[in-house]
Parts: sequence; structure tokens; C-alpha cells
Amino acid sequence: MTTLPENPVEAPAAVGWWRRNAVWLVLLPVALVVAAGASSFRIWAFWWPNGLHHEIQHVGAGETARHSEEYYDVGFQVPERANTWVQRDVEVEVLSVTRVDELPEPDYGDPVPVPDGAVPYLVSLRLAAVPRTDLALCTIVLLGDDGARYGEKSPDVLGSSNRCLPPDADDPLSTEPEWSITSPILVDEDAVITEVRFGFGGPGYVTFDVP
Amino acid sequence: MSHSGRRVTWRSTTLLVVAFGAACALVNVMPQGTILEQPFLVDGHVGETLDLDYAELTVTEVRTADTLASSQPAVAAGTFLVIDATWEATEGETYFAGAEVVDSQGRTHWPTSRGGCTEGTGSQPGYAWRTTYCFDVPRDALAGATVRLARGTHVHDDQAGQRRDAVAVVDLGITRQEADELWEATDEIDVDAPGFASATTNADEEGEG
Repeated sequence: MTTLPENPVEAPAAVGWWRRNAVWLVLLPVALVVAAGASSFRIWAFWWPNGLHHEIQHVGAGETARHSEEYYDVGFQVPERANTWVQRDVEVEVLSVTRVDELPEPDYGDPVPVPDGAVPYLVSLRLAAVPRTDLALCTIVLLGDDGARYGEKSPDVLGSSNRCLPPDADDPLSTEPEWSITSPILVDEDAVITEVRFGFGGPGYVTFDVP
Repeated sequence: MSHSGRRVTWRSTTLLVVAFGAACALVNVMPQGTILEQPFLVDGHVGETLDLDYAELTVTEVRTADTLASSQPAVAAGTFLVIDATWEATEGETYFAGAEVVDSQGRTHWPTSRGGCTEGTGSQPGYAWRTTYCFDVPRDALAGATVRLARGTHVHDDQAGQRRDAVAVVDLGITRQEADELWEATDEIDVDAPGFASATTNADEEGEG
């Protein structure tokens, strides 16, 4: 009597290391991203809100831009807004960017001389916003072809803190639906101005090309 | 099966141990505090303009005084090392928070705000901004002293805000003989308020005309 051999049991196909660890390999980059994010809180907590980092809109010369951004109001100017996020919408148009010989007379104090190696520019803007819009920390920057950002500092070179309001403004709140301002900025005499940036300290800003 | 599993475990363990060993060796060979986080030192001397990428710095003058004249005069416990400098930011508005004098013995001396002196200053692109730092130092700190200026602070040797950033180290050029002379001097200095490094007023131009 002949006994047929049982069917040979096929050995399971060898599973490679990459296949066996496929799940962990997929999760590894996720873990790395999470670890990097967890250890980079200083970027969004300190760097991102302080400075103009996010371009909201970029318009050509003569066009109007809209700066729309939420900010956290601590209630210095309007107590009922204290500790709330407030939507701020400001329409901006650059009327002119003019190189002049002297700085205008300040509203108070002695005339400010032009430092050697610098030239003053006057930036004229038309602004529109609903009355009682808080314009504190308004920032007007001229970007030079050398990459430098001129005029970031507030108060400006003449000591004005409310750069985006008429000189006789009592506080940083707008009073009219539309108004114009002129802000002086000192620039390196060899620099060529290519853009105007407008914002409120950060992170959002709008950019205007300069003809 | 179990035999195969044990083999894999041993191999994994060995790999882990080797990886940890390599990581420890790497950290010991390249410790963060002494290599990876070191600032980029830009050496110079008094009168030389140094390019720090984010600013140009010139230490223009070094003086000593026993007294700083101001509305509230300041009298030094040792002597005031008065260092005039000009900053010009090159990227955007920048605050220069780091200022310290390091003497030949490696001791660090911090600036004082007495007598109208500055402990830190800001600057913008477009023009140079003049400021004066004052350090109350003992006699043996004068010869061979250097001043270390930067935008980042340098607190207690952990590099803090100066990690992988440019830092100016300016040799004040004080010899041992000069140190004795400076120590003996009993000058009083009226520190100028920070301002434009140089500016031409309309009155100047009319005078020249």
C-alpha cells in the first residue's frame, strides 16, 4: 500500500523589515513634525506676532489695499473691548512717496536735523475705517532695494506715536470715516525705495508697489 | 519561532545601545555650549567699523572718569570706563541689548545706567545712532580690556540671546602703562544723550554759506 505524502506545508513568505515596521515608518515623520512643533512655541508665541511677517495683500502703484486682521484688545482705549479679539478693517491707498530735503517741523520740540548719509521721505496715505477704529502701533515701512526696512520704529523720527492719524489726534482712535496723513521716514541716501508696507506691528501687513 | 524572536531582540538591543553610544559621543565631541551654540565673534579695535550682518558698529572713543556729571552725578567705586559707540542697523529696527566689558582676567563687567549712560540702545537703517556705555571697573580691569557688543544678551555664559549670532569684540587698546595713567586721572565726563551720530542743521549750512 502506497501512502501518498501529505501536501507540503508552504512556509510563509519572508516579511521584510520595512514591511513589518511600515506603521512605525509612517508615524515617524508625523512624530518628528509634532516634536518640532512642540519645541518651537517661541516662533508663534513671540516672533510671529511681533513684526510684519504675513502679507495680507499686495497691490500695484495707485491701487487701494484692505488691511483686515483680528487683534487682541486690552481695553486701553475702549474699555468695553477689553480682553476681546477685535476685527480691524482699514482701507489704505498710497497717495505719494516723495523725497525731500528737510524734515517737516515737529508738532512740539525743536526741529530735527537730517543725519548725515540719510534723506527724508514723506509718505502720504489715504485711510478709511469705521470711526473709533484703534490705530495704535500703526507701522509704515519703506522697503529699499538693499533689503532694509526703513521707518519701522514708532514713534517716528519726529516723535509722533499716532502715525496713522492727523497730528491733532488725542488718542489712537479714528474719528472720521476717511482721512489722509503724511509720515516722515529717514532712508539711506543711496537706497532706492521699491515698496511701501502698512500694518499694525504684526503679523499682517499690506504691500504697495512704488512706481 | 521563539528562537528567531530572541535573535531579533538581541539585534535591536545592540542597535539601540550603539545608537545611544554614538549620540553620547556626538554630544561629547560637539557639546552645544562650546561649539554648536557659539556666537560668531567679529574682532576689531577702536575706530574700526565692524559688519555684524544685522548692523554696523563703530567704537569711536574710550575714556575714563571718576565722576559722571548729570542731574544726579554718579561717582565710581573704581573708575568709569566710558565707551562711545555708533550703531547703524542694516535690516530693520533693531535693539542692541548685549553690552559687557571683559577684562584680561576673564571677569565680566556690566554697564551702568547712572550718569546718563546707556545699557542698551536701538537703531534703524538709514543713519548711525550714537550712544555711550559706562562700566564701573576696578584698576586691574583696565589693561587689556575688551568690550563685547551685540543685539543679543549674554547672560551668565550660557550664550542666551547670542546663539549663532554675530557679536562684536572690540579691543579697547589699553596698555598697562596707559591703564595707570587712566586710573590716576580724575576727570569728570558729561555724557551726551543718545542721538544722531552726525547731522547737519540748517544753521550749520547757513553758517558755511
